[in-house]
Parts: sequence; C-alpha cells; structure tokens
Amino acid sequence: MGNIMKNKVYFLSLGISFLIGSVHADSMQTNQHIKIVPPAEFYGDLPSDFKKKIEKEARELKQKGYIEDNSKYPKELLGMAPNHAVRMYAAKKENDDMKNDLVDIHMAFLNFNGISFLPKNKIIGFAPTGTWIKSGWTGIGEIFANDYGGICTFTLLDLDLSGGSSSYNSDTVEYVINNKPSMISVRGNKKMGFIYSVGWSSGNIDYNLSCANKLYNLSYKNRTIDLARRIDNDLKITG
Amino acid sequence: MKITKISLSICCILSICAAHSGFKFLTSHSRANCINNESITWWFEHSMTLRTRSTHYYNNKFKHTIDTGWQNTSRSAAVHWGEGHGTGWYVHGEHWVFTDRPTHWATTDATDCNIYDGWWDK
Repeated sequence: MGNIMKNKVYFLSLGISFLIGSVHADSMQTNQHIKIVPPAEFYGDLPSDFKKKIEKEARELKQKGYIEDNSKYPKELLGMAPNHAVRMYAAKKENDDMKNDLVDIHMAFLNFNGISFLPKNKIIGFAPTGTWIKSGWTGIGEIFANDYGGICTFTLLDLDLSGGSSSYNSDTVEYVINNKPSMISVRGNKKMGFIYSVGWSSGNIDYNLSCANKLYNLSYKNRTIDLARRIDNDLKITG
Repeated sequence: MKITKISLSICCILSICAAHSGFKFLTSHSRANCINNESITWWFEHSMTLRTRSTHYYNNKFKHTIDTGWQNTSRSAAVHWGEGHGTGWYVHGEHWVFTDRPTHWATTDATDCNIYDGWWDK
C-alpha cells in the first residue's frame, strides 16, 4: 500500500471515529434533568454498604447474566393475566389501585395515549407514578401482557414536572435504545421468576420497561430491549 | 385522652386515603397542617433503596429538616408526628430512589392535606 493510500485510510478512519463520537455526544442528551456522571458522582452520598451491594450486583449481572433476587414482584406481575383483569373490571369499573382507561387518570402532561401498538386484550391497566402536582400526575404506568409469555410494566416520569433528575454512570451507560442513554438489568431467581428491565431517558423524561417471565433466558432480555425500542419509537409526548 | 383517640382516628383515615396511590408504582407526596407534617416516598410492599427529606416552615420561617437517609424499605417516611395541628405550616419534600441508577424522583410542596384529588374522584 502506497503512502498516499495509507494516509487516505488513516484520515477516513479518523473521520469515521469522529462521526461515531459525534453521534454519541449528541445521543447523550444531557440536561439539568438527565446527567451522565463519573462513578464517584454516580454514587453520591450513598453509604458504603449500599455502594458495595450495587457494585456486587453489577459484577453478578456481568458474570451470571442476572442478579440473584428473591423479590415476589415477578410472581405478582405474572399473576395479572389480562383475562383476569378484564373480568375484574367488568365486575367493578373503578378499581382502587389501577384504572382500565387512561382517561380516568389526570396526567400533568399531554398526549400520552398508551402504547399504540398493543392489542386491547393485552392491556391490563394503568396507574399513576411520580407525584401529584396542581395539573395532575407527573408519571404514568401501563401494565400489559407481552407476546412472549410475560407481563410488563411501562412507566414514564416527567422529571421536569416532578422537579427531579436522573443520573447514569459514565462507565456503564449504554445506548441501546435508539441511541439514548440506557441501562439494562435482570433480577430474580428460579423460584420467584425474573424481571427484565430497561431504563432509558429522552429529553426530560425517564422511561422504564420491566417484563416478568418465569424463566431466565437471554432471548427474553433481547426481546425486552426490542420492545423498549419499539415503545420509544411509538411515543409522542408533549409537556 | 378523648382528643388523642380522635387524633389517632383522623390519622388512620388520612393514611387509608393516601394508600390508594403507591400500590402499583412508586409515588411520593408531602402533607402539611395535617396533624402530621410529612413527606413520604412509597410503593406498597416493594422494598427499594429510598431516601426522603422533609423541610418544615412555620409562618414562612424555617423550623427543621427531617432526613431519613438511604434505606431499603417500601415506605420512606420523613414525618413529624403531631406537628401539623392548625395552620401556617409549609412542607417541602425531596424524594430519591436508587434502582440500578440514582433518581432524584421528585420535589413536593404542601400547605394542606389534599394531595390525591386527582386519583379517586376523576
């Protein structure tokens, strides 16, 4: 290879690296509500035993694929079959802790009409999250059945309306959801089942998709990530 | 004695009303002049790493701050029991959660008990 050719390859590589770097810099979308911080800042004033536990969990996730957790949450979610929910609402339209229609929840933000591509018979219900301000709730959650045998919750929290902020560790942040800062975890055990979680942020909003399945399977993790991407593409939220 | 019983009953009723939210997902709120002055972050029966700080003002003057510190709990409650009799109290709450990453979940402000008018009657 001649020197001119070598130089061309070098500058081409440099250009590509620069472009990739630019895409990531843009994708960070950091603002006063969403921050990507170095590890020391990430843990803030968390006591050392909490920090050690989180670091141990990160190692476990990397080595084993999931974090050992005896939470009953997977069982709780898997117990919410859509048919059960439909029967429950047929008997009692208003439920104390969950609504079957978004219009029954007064949200502080506009234009969230639920995940548009979900068939109606897969939707279990809606409930608020975040906090209540004068104009309504600052967050909303939707519970639904996925098409790979699990039950999912999708939540969004408007950090601007909540007066909050969210941070990612610069060492571990990923960009798997349409190039937006994101974080993935799997928690559970063989007895209780597993929760596959994807958290991501865009603009002032924090999103989380958590799907429960009885078994641990890498394909469930990948399908949950794909579902999160699809939801992210589907969202049209304005404040 | 009678007043104590009445106060306890009112506390229980208020707790029941507040329990409608926080069942399916994490929620946070503050209340003032509500027998107690309080800031609470909670998700029924779901233990998480939570922290709540509640700052109380009386007639616009700073009185004190209650900070729960980080806890593994389903209900992080910074409460001054019995402080919120009468009027004139203002409560400013700050709420944090650490699930895979730290989130300053919300700031909440209250001058009364009415926090959930958006839930059960709309």
